[in-house]
Amino acid sequence: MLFNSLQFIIFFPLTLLLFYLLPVRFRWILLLLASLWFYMAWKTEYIWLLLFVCLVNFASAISIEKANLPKHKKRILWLSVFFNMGVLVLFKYAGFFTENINAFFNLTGIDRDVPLINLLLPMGISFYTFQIMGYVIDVYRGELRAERNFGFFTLFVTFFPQLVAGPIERAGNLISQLKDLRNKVDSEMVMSGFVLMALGFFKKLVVADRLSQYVDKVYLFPEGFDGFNVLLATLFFAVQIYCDFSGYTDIAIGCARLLGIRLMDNFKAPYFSASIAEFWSRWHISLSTWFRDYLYIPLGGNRVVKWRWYYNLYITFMVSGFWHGANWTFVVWGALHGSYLVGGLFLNDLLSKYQSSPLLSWYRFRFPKILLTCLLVCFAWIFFRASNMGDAVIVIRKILDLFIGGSDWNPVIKGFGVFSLFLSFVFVVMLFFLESDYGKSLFRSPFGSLFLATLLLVFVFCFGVMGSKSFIYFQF
Amino acid sequence: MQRTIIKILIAILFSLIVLMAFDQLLQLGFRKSTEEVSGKMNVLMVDSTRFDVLCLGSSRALAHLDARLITERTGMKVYNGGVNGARVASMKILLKAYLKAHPAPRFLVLHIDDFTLETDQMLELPHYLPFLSDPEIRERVFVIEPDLRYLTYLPFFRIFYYDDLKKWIAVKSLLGLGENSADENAGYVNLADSGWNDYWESQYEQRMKTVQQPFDSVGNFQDGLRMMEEVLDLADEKNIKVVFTSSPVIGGASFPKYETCISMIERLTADRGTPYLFFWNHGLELNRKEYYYDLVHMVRKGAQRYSAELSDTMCKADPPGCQKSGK
Repeated sequence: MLFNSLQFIIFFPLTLLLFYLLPVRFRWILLLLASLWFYMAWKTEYIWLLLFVCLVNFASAISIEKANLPKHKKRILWLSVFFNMGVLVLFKYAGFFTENINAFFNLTGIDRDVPLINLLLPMGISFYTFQIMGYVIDVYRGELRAERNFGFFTLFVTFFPQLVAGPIERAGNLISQLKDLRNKVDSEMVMSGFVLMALGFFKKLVVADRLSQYVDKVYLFPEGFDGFNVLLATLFFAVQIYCDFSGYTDIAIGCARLLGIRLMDNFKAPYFSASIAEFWSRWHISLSTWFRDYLYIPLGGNRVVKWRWYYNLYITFMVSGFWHGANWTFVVWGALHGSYLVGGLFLNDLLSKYQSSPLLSWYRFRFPKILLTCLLVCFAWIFFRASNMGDAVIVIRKILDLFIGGSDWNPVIKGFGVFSLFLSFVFVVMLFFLESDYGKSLFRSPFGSLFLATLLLVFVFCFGVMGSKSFIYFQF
Repeated sequence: MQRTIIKILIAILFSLIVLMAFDQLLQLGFRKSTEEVSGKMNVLMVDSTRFDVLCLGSSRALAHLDARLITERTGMKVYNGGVNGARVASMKILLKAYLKAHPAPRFLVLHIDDFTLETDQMLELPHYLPFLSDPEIRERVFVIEPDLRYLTYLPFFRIFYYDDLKKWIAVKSLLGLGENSADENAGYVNLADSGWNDYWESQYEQRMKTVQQPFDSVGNFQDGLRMMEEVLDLADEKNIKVVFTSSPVIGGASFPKYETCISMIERLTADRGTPYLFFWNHGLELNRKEYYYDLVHMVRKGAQRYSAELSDTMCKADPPGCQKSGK
């Protein structure tokens, strides 16, 4: 079920009403049933896969806890990791691997063809697999006790606000809240939940889906557009993906708050970052911290020799890229971010030696660094958005052509006229204002938050691009 | 806590009131609009101007039937009522609405596409939404988009179907802005002098390479054919001469779906003795890229050649109707 669907507009208030009408001890059952219903609204059959994955990991965690010897614990952990990764690879990467094996055979003249495997990707599989793996690893590390109630465990995995696109919650934070669903909701929580939902719908329906009309047209056939349109589409995509994903997160956190549950933050105005490292501490925080805790640190983190540290960073970002999708474009995207980080570390070392040079005076100011970070991030988004490597190269060539010379600077394209461009501009500026410190301070006052939420709702109703367009991160 | 919930409910209620006001404002704008499809809908359904020839069909009718050229050649006043993606259901409801507001035309030109007889779609549905008071339109729209039934309880619901362009057109007409060209006033959209580019070249090559599956769904077209007969009955009742026409599709005329649709229409026209201008049969040499804007739409010079041929066909069908045909 999509948040931006008619179904959800009926589903959520009904769930909310029943939640508060029911005695506390039955509330978790309602949430579990609602979550399963929410998932089944997409594709009924895949609920069995989700439940099977839950069952295997539920049993694994208990077995790890019960095992006496560390090597037994480790063995069960690895079995669980292999199982989870196996399911993920089968559904998400099998098509990619078989395609590439066949391409390799073709290239080397081997006369063999591996049958293509193309299964329908279960919604949210990357998110719930990582959430579950985090839980099992925490139990293995002794940081968490294994959950003994399958119902609570399944609710932790399937909790509907964050099931399909995160935040990738930690069991330590979520399970304890789901077990204690007494009325902890206060006015502040209700109002902030409502405001976050309004902001999330505004980001998704008013900004992201409007910009996507431009981006989709240009990126479908970049060769057919002028360099300026391609550049604008790339900048629009940077805003679109932020609004799409953070919009989803805001709605998820808002829904959860109305149910009395606090989910972790996932975004903190990432485009105001002054370095790539800072960007990753503000963008998709739940995934970044997941990779930090369960991949980067186990690899040795930064407590190793320098080359190994750089290697750890690079590998973490390559894996992060591949997590996003089974396509070489995502691998390049991850590799680019890895390179930025490693390059940034080199550069910092170098610049610290020449701090007093007047040529580097700009480096002391935050704004140029924010701009540079934005440009680097936008460049990487080209690979993230392009359908294939060929298209990404065309996009880059078109943008370079624009600056080298001879391109029309008309932003209008067929199907996206001056009025749409004007609205996009107004709403993007409005969003930047809302995300600024001043905008956030307005949200903190009771009257300000109510006023802004009402205003956002009016814009959502009057200028939202309806049609239940799916969220970008659902495909991951 | 209670106060917070009341505040939230008031906020929601207030935004809904603004939404309703905005919806009413847009409706007012659409009713006054003379531009684009909204303007066309007003001409077809509200205006009472007398036209001698009414053309109905999809975007291909819109771009290929040069109303002013046909007027010049036949001396008859022509209105091009083509609407993007229009199928037989749209033809039927537009004709019925037209006949309620206008005197019957002398000719009805029905432009046929490979999808004309499909009845499960209605492209550009939002254009019909300001006219839901017409029971025929309302019924058809609800069949195509069941979600719109919520309109019965939530009258502002249709606003969600309007895109930026549509809202802008309504706002412009409220502000008294916006002008049409002479072509647009006759309902015709001139697709410039050239449009074919590398993109369409690649699409064309892809289309020609695609293996066409045999189209075995004559049964799917039966409903459409029945609706087409209703259109013809209506025309007979009002003594309107019908001309069927089907303009070229580059490299696509031999596609099984197209062939099925055309052969069904041909059979129908033969049975009823209705004139039919089908470009393959008329030796028009329009199957060349220079005439095309994209895969299915012709540029101005293609449209003009085609419209000239259509004018002659109409004059042959009803010689007294053509006062200045020069034939």
